This record gives sequence, structure tokens and C-alpha cells, in this order.
Amino acid sequence: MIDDTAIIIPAYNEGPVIAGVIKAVKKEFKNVVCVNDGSKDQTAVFATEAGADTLSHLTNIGQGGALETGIKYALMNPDIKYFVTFDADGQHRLEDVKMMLAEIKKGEHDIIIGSRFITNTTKIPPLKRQVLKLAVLFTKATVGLKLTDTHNGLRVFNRKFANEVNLKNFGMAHASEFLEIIKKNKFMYKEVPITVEYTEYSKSKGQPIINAVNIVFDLMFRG
Amino acid sequence: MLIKLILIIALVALGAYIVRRMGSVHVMAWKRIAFILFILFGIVSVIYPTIVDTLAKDIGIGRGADLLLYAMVVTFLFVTINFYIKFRKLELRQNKIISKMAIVEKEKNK
Repeated sequence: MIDDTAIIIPAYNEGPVIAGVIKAVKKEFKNVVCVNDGSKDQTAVFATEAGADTLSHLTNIGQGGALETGIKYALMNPDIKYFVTFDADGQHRLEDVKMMLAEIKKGEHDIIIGSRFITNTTKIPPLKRQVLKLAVLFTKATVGLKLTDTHNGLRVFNRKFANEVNLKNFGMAHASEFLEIIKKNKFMYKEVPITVEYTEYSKSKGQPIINAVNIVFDLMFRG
Repeated sequence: MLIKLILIIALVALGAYIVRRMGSVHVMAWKRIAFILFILFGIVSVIYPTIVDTLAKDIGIGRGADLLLYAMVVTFLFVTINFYIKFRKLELRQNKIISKMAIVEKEKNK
């Protein structure tokens, strides 16, 4: 049982799958924090029953907001050394998380980021692949970090990094903000190959590609 | 003419109202000055409508009505962007509160 790591799972209307995902994680990790982002279904109830430490937003404020809440909450527990952001729809694999944890425990990096593009084990729909590639170029131009996958939800980071997280974009543009935190604080980062399992469910829940337009817009006009 | 009186009263009332409302938030002084100038220009052009025409000709636009239209488009864009930024700020503030509340509630029920 791993007890120095918090698995942070933002969830919005994940009723059909949340219990299964949390139960699987719970088998190996003691601290599972589920942030119910104002779901209209029974997500919070199922998550609590499955054994997660569940927090609920009054209304839906976006995935970035749920991550912010989960990270701040996990930071209150002094036993937590590592923080993992994990998707609620079951598309991330626990073996990847454990591999990333082993990597960060070497102590050379502050954050380990999953990438779908180092090895081609992930089957990504062709159009989505092109949009993600564009996102990589966009990030390179705006933030200036060399990465192969800038919009991957699977990350493992240490306390030092978690302390600097203060997300302003509570929508989907938060992925770029994580990279800005790296840049601003000169954190050591590493990308490792992971596999994202796109199920029919996660495909139906995932953000439509057109949302890329909104992300770019959000990044350009920040309050 | 009665229409002039009505328009001037409307402009003055609107100006007073907005400047007073602006006082409750942090609006940079130049925004207020620009706004007062805008209102003054409105009043002047109501009293002397030909001024707009003359001004339009001076800067190379055919008619005064066209000048008004261009000015309105620019003002509209300015206002829209202003509102968008303000809206984003409010949204961020609200989200911070909701995030904080979730943690406070959780702690309370422990």
C-alpha cells in the first residue's frame, strides 16, 4: 500500500465509471482524493462509497479548478510527498503511474509528465492527433518548453511543485499553466511514454477537438 | 428644439450614472476622462449638429453620420473587451471561492 502519494481525480458527471476507477486505484494507494466538480449525477456518492476522500464544488467550475482544489487539499496532509493527477474516466493506467513514481523518486525531477507520442502505443484518432501536435507547437512558441505532449492529464510531481500550483484557468487551458509553472520556477521535468486507453466511454466524455479554439482564446485573454 | 433638450438630459443622466457606478470599482482615471469627453462631444453635437459634419470632412470621412458610426464601432469594441476582461476576473474570483469552500466543507465534516 503506497501511503506517501495522493492520487487526485477531478470528476464531472462520471457516475457510470467513477466507482470502478477509484476501487482499482484504492487497491494500491491509500490516499485517493476525488474532486466532484458540481456533477449533476451521483458521482460524489459513488466516489465516497468506493473509498475516495471526496470534495464537492457547489457548481461546475472546470477541470483546472477541480485539480486546484484537490492539490490544495492534498497539501494539507504532511505525509504526502508526491501528487498524481489522474483522469476519472479510466483512460490512465496504474502501471504508468507506478513507473512515473519510480522515476520521480530518483529525486532528479520535480515533475514527470506522461506523453502519448514518445512511443506509439496509444491509438489516437487522426484528427485529434493533428490538433495535439499543433498544441505542442503552440506551447513551444508561447512557453518555450520542449515537450512531445503538452495536453496530457497524467502527471506526477513533488511537494515543491505542488506548492507553486495556483491555477488561474479553471477550464481546460490549465494544461499550459502547469508548463508555465515549470518554466517560471525552473523546475526539472521529464516526459515518459505512457499509454492512454481511449474507451468508447472516454471518447464520448472527452473534450471535443473544437475546444482547442477555446483553449487558445483563454490563454490569450487572461484576466 | 425639444429633441435637443431630451437628448442632452439623457446623455447627462447616463454620464452621471455611469461615472458614479464606476467609482465602486477600480477603473483607471483615463477611462473616466475618455467617457466624460465622449459625453461632452455628444452634448456639443446635439446642440450644433453641423460640427460633426465639419469634423468628418476635416478628417476625410464624407458625412457626419459615418463618423458617428465609426466612433460607435470603436467604442463598442472597447466596451466589449473591457467587459470580457472584467467578466474573466469575476469568474476567477468566484471559482477561487468555490474551490476554497469545498475544502472548508470537507474539513468541517471530518
